[in-house]
Amino acid sequence: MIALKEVSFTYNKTRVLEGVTEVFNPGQIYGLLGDNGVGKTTLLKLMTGLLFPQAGTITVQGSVPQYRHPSFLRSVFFVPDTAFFPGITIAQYVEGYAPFYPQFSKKQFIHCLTAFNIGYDNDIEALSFGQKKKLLLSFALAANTPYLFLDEPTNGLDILSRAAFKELLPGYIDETKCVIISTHQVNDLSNLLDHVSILRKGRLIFSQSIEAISRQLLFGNEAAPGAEILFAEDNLRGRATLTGNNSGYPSGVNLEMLYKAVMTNGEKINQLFAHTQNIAI
Amino acid sequence: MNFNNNQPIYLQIVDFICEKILLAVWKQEEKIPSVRELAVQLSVNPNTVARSYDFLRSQEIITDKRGIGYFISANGIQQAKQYRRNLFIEQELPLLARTLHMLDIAPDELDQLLTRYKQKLQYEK
Repeated sequence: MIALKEVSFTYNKTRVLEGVTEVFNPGQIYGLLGDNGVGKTTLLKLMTGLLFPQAGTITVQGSVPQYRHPSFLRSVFFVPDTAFFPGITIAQYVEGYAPFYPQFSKKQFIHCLTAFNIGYDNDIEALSFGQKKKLLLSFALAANTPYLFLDEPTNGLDILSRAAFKELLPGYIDETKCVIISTHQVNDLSNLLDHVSILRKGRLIFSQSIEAISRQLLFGNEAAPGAEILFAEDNLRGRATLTGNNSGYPSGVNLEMLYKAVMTNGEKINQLFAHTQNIAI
Repeated sequence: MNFNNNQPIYLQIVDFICEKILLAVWKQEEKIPSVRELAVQLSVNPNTVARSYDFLRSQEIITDKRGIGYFISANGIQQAKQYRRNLFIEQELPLLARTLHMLDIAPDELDQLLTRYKQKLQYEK
């Protein structure tokens, strides 16, 4: 489990994160959404010990990332938006880096590379930006760490590779693993997420499981008479509306619409969840 | 599999499986893919597939044989049909009725269209 308590972070004089409190549990895939520059990457770096918070506490399975204990470093893997590699071959890379991850599986690594259509006997320098990213994603999935942090994983991937990634991730996750994905391409990942957290101006303004969202909110094409419309936009089928869910059925979730709605009407939406809130810290 | 937005994904997977059963692609008392296999196949979160399987079990459409896997129930077709019929009547029919009303299609006209459609299906078989 990862627990953040009142975490704040400032770059020089710019406040990036303020009072972020959140829990990430094993067996779940979390989506971290937010506009560019709201602190998504910073949050991931804080949890992996690459940056240190100025205020608040972070623990990952009881250890503090900042101390960078070997046991902590063995249990996390961070895939940054832009991958950096030394000028060696893939085989040399595996030889050099895999020993740091006791659960690393070469079989899984080859499986991922094959899915991404990258040969094992390549020089890393000869690969394109997208291919390097796929190489790092393959290594990250094969490292089998209990905590996996992905910063914009589908950025720079072509259409087939996006599909391959969406197929590989379900094979990686199990009840011992926790995945946190920052993204602004919500449609890419909507079928994979268990939970959605939304950052705005350095604050966590929304955090709910997909299950709770589909119970509390109704994404429809036409609001029931008298229902308070939380968000609406015109589309080809008329008008897409977001209201509270009194239909008795769980609703499908449109993440893009949810995101827009939370940005414009976050307080009201959070109120709908308030009576069912059970924050476990 | 194409996902639409009106239903949660776990219920869309339930529909997908019911259709497999009703079209006899998956047979009664046969083993079905594990949660993980189906998750990878459909590119969805395994937790979502687990929810679908829980739901199907509660509807007695599938059964869980501990340690072996999930199987279509002995009366899976009947159970799946029952569930899909209820869903059709409660959720899909009102939408259809609304469109029919909007387009002024009377019941006997619809009846003719359905008969023609049935003939076409039989012809194709």
